Amino acid sequence: MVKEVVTSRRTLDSLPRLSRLYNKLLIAKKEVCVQRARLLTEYMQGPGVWFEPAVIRRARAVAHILEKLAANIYPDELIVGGITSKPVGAIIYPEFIGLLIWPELDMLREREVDSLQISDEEIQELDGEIFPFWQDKILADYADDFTAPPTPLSLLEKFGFFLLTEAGGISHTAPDFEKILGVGVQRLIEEAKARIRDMDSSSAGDPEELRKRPFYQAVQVACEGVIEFAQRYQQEALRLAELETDPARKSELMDIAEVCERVPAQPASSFREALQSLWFLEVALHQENYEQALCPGRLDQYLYPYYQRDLERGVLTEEEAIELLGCFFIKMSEFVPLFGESIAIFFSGFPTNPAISIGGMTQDGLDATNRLTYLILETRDLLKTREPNIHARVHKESPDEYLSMVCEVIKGGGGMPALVNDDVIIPTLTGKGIKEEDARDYVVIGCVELSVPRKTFGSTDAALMSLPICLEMALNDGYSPVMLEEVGIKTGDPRQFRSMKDVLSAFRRQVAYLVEQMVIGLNALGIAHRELYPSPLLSATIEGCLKKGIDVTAGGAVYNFTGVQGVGMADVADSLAAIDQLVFREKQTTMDELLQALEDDFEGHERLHQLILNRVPKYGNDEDLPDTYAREVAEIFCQEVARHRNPRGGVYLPGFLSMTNHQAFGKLVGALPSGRKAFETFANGISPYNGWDSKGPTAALKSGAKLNYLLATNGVAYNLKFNPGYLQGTEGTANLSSLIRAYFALGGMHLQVNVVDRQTLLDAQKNPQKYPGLMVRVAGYSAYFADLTREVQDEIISRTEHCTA
Amino acid sequence: MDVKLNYYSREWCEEAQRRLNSDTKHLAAAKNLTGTFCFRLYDCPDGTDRIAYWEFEQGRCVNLSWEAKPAPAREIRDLPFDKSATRARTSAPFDMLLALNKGEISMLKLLTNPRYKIEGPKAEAMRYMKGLNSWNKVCMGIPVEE
Repeated sequence: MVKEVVTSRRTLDSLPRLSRLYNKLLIAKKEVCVQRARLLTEYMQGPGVWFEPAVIRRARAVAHILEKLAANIYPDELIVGGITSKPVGAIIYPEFIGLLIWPELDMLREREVDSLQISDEEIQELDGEIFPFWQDKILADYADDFTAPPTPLSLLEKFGFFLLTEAGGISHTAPDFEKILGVGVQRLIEEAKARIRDMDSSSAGDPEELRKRPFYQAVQVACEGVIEFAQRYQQEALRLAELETDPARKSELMDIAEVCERVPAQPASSFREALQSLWFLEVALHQENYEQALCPGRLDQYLYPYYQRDLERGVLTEEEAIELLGCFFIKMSEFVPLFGESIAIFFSGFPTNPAISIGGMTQDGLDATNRLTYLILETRDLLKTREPNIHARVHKESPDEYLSMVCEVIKGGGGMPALVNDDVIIPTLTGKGIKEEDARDYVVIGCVELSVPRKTFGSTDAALMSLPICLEMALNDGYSPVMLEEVGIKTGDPRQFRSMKDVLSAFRRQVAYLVEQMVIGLNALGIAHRELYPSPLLSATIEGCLKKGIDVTAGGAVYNFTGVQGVGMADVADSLAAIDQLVFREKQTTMDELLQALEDDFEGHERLHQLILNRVPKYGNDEDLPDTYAREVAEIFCQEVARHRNPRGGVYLPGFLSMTNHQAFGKLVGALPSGRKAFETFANGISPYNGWDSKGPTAALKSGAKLNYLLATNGVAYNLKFNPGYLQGTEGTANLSSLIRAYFALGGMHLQVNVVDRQTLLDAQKNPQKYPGLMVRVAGYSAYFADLTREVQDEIISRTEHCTA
Repeated sequence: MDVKLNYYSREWCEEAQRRLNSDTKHLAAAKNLTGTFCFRLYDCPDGTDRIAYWEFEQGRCVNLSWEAKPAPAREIRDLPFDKSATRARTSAPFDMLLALNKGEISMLKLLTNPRYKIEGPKAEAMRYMKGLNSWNKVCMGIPVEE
């Protein structure tokens, strides 16, 4: 029997505040905000600054920024605090890769990818004062000195092999918000002071202990900056209240002032204070570390006691809780990344990905779903904000009602929440040495990455690497036909390959080589972060750092990982299937003819091209030949990644997500044996190649379920697109629920679903003004369709639109 | 003939065009390279600013125009980018482009330097990266006067 699920009992019309805030958000222009860069530069230009211990220098810089950031409170807001000074702003991190926009400053307003508003005065300030100061202080330059030429940085610069996103900064973690909401930031300061007192009384001369002193001092300084920041919001709320003529808003402003007086310095005493405290911490942490994927984690779990208590005290209704959650979601969508145009192509659609995870299991292994889980889903259903990136954890015992509501919200559009499978992920994490109760507590970071909250620094999206370019180099003896140089290693003349074993061996060696180069680059960046720009504020929020007296960048966290992604897995799998079937099994072609066809982009080789496209089975159709290769390709990448260690004493974790790197990397690889033409996009995440999963969603998911997820310890992204007609009504919801249950029972790890039809997307492409709120799932994140590059839009339109089971 | 030429002099550009059009490897690699590309070089050693337009059809350089004017030449430096007629325009000081040609400067250094500017859609440019790489490779093979 199909269970009736009622969602959206409320409409946005019944929540006029949220409606107004949301509409404002949708029409707000995205603007570059100079204030952080200005304040950081101001501090770093001070006398003697570069002679301070790095960790203290960083803390004082962060505190300086926090003490001077604009305190803007906008009409209707209940949760306050701006990461930038603009209604929707892009923050600049000149110490990382912010200078990439320097040559593009006067083009930002009109560039075709991620255009942003900026005033002439701001351009002048960046060009004349701020950026010149940072010209010789970029993290990546410092890191480059740790590696031998030709350095991994020189590979990075070619854009086709890997991106070392850690050059842009660190975040990609889920701090211990639960603790800080519970004890307050003041307690962290006292804890740091107590540690210094303990040190002084017990082991003052121990050099290891001496090294900890600046760290604890830095924690104090940074945390004091956070408190000061909140207090200025209190003062601003009082000032505005004084001026306010509307008694209702005046009262709200007085409430805001009261909340900001308490949190985050003191423990949160209500649901609202908890949300406000959490948001202030996010704002503060992003002044230290870049704007990507600093994740609130299991919001429904650690906010539930506040919600429950307020409900019992009669000081909060469900509707008020939704209103507060909505205000919080809108704040999370008010900042966007600032990429140079060359980088923006790899990350189209302004993703920042502060992810929250809902549902799933408790640390005791029981179902964790609670009333707040449903309210978060309802808030999402009402508000299609770009952030937070919501992930619904599902396990065998997840209630049907929960899964049905998740499906209803997915059907509402925007590709959220994404789904992750506890029954697969928990064993995957314990396999990496994570304790069972910690693994059960996992959260999704950023797009799809996996991490234990509170106690992990996992840098989960430190790099993305192209797998098809490894195959291309294996088929060219280390030579890259697009770069026109030998980048890989010599793996032999492919014309002499006698079996698939030879092909796979060459591919594996190219992967191993490129992974090693990527790891060298990342480890150098990791050292640079530690030595040049450590993170005392983030350290204060991650379990282990205060106890050990070690910064998070130096290995202070309980768990230390580095996560990297392979891109284009399906392209390699389909290519290997084609070589296997046509060259070695059926001998329909020779390696020589195939290589010539690739060089000619199949022009003049139409017969072979059609043979590949029509005769060779493709990944995504429950066909064993390509699916076996998909598993093998994924395993090769995972094994090569997992053998490396990071500078924080942890290991590397492999995963498969692509942001829009599948598009960008694809432009730098020629034709593939899969039949993909030169410079076309790759498949996204672990999804099948667009349009090639022709046997329906069940077959597509069965292919995906065959991968060995025990090795994909950093997570995967699997996209599926449905025509809304197929999922209509309660029957459609039940169909989707059943499909998810079946896929997860087969062992699938992750699923994200776009429910949108081709005609709507085509019309939105033509008339973007008609669809300001149309949101789609890209590859691990959702974005407004109008914000995507034309090519990414085309790619999403070309994805298979499933209409039947 | 391996006569050394002044980098980005008229003779150097003409030699590059000759080599591009007679290099079968380049013509094969750059078959999707079509369109006009502009380069502006400031403060050249002879006291000029230079501007060159390279028009390609499937890798073949079918038209080359080259002009030099005493630096700083406002008519070159202030010339608006015409994206309807030009796919991309690169502008930089002479020394910087020469260092790039000789492989002495990293791309990161260039991309974070305000004096090195590339105009035009970069997403589109990535699609013909193979052709651009091939063009660059041919140019790097021309001996230049130190």
